[in-house]
Amino acid sequence: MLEILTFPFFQRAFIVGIILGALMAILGVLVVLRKMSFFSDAIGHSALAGIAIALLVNVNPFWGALAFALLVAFGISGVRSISKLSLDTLLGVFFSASVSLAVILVTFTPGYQADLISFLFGNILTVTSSDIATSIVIAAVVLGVFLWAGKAFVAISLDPALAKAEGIPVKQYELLFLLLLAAAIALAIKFVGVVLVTALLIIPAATAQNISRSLSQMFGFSVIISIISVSAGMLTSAALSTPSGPTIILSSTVLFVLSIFVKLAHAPR
Amino acid sequence: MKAVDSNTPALAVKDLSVVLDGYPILENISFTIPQGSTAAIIGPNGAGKSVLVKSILRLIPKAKGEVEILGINHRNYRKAAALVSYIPQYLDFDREFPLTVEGLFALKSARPLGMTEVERERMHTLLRMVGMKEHLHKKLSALSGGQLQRTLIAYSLMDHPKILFMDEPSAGIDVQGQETIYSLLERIQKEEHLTMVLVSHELDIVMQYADQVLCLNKELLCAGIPKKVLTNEILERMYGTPVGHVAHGHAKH
Repeated sequence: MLEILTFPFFQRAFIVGIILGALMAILGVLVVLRKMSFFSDAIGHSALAGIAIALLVNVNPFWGALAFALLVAFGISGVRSISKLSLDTLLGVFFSASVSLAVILVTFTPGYQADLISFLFGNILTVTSSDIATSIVIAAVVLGVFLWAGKAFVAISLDPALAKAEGIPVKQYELLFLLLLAAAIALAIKFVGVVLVTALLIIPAATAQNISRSLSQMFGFSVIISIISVSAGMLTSAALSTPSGPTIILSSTVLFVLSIFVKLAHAPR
Repeated sequence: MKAVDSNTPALAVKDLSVVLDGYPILENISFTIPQGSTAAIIGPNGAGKSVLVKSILRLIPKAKGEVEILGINHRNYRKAAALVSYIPQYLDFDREFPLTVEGLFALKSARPLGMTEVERERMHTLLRMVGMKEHLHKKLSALSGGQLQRTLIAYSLMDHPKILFMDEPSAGIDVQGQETIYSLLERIQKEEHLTMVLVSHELDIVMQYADQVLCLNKELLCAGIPKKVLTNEILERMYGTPVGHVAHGHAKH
């Protein structure tokens, strides 16, 4: 099994896995604290329509996924601000419409169904050198912006009215966060797929929340847990010849279950 | 920031009206509050007290009127925001939110991570002032109502505001705790040279601590020194029923 560690394709996959894991783990903390899991799932699935359009017109699927994820994220926010419908209702509408659109578009793209399936479940072992470069650039931009705006994001997550009274332009920061989230999701889809992308975002952060005493600990633990999950998942997938994305997610789920026991052990009696 | 002329009112509100979901909530409210004073906004439930404060702070839109905060029109709220702090009636946060008292204060820092030594010193001074120094590493969710209120008061003073708006400072606190919160606010007001605008429904507290009272029930029914303007007639108009008064002999002079 150790031999696989020397293969360039595995090393490339490992590098991208670690970068993506850390990126998703950081954004995931705010997604979990703001109860945006289903929202992230919806924009992840919506990205499938963008990928289908990109495949149809022969453009890099990342840009299609990013554009459509953003379109749906802004669409949901926009409709929510002018209607009285609840967020989960709007998510249901946009989610189903986007997936339906993706399925219909695929029928216009003969021969590409296999590609679309690969975006459903992803394949981290198909990473190229240019994927590494793209991941580094996008992750650096997202993390840079997050570092600059992170405190405002946390203040808004704590209490939006208080943040607004303190002069934080809440709407602009909300849009910025959606942009970062859409970019990270679009980037991760290629490797873990639409179905599992939310898990990569949510599970490490939720695990960290179970064992953290402060927000800075939660960010730190989330990144560490994500990196351990990606590493363990990739090695297990290589050893057992299982699909990489689902194996990574199951590894993080094992850590999540363990964190529940840790939380129970430390709960006041 | 340019120093504010001491004659400029801390707050000047003119003909402010607020309509929410088609219903008029506030109509033609006008008043001024001088710098360095404590003003209490009183009125029955649903009188529009919180709405007035939120409208001043641009948290909800107004239908018409003008508001100036230390001479700055609140249309430029981001400029005025540096001069004000606001403590809402309830902090609307999830009990699982893992923010500690120290983490909360770090949100006020311009540094992307942590805070500067000067900011840390200010945090310690303020927490000591409100008696919360030993709770620095506690999660906000682990604090009692009174402890959270004290923490928020200290947090609100972190960047040296000129005006502090508080919506029901004693909500969710027992009577003994209320007394302590108001005594604390009075002490802080003197030490930090603040203007305070409090929303309250407790007449005794208003009589004891406020320099100026604004009686509200959709419209402004009275404005002035509490023991002069809080007549039984005004109270009856405000609450719609006779209210046993008021003069407990410990009004602020």
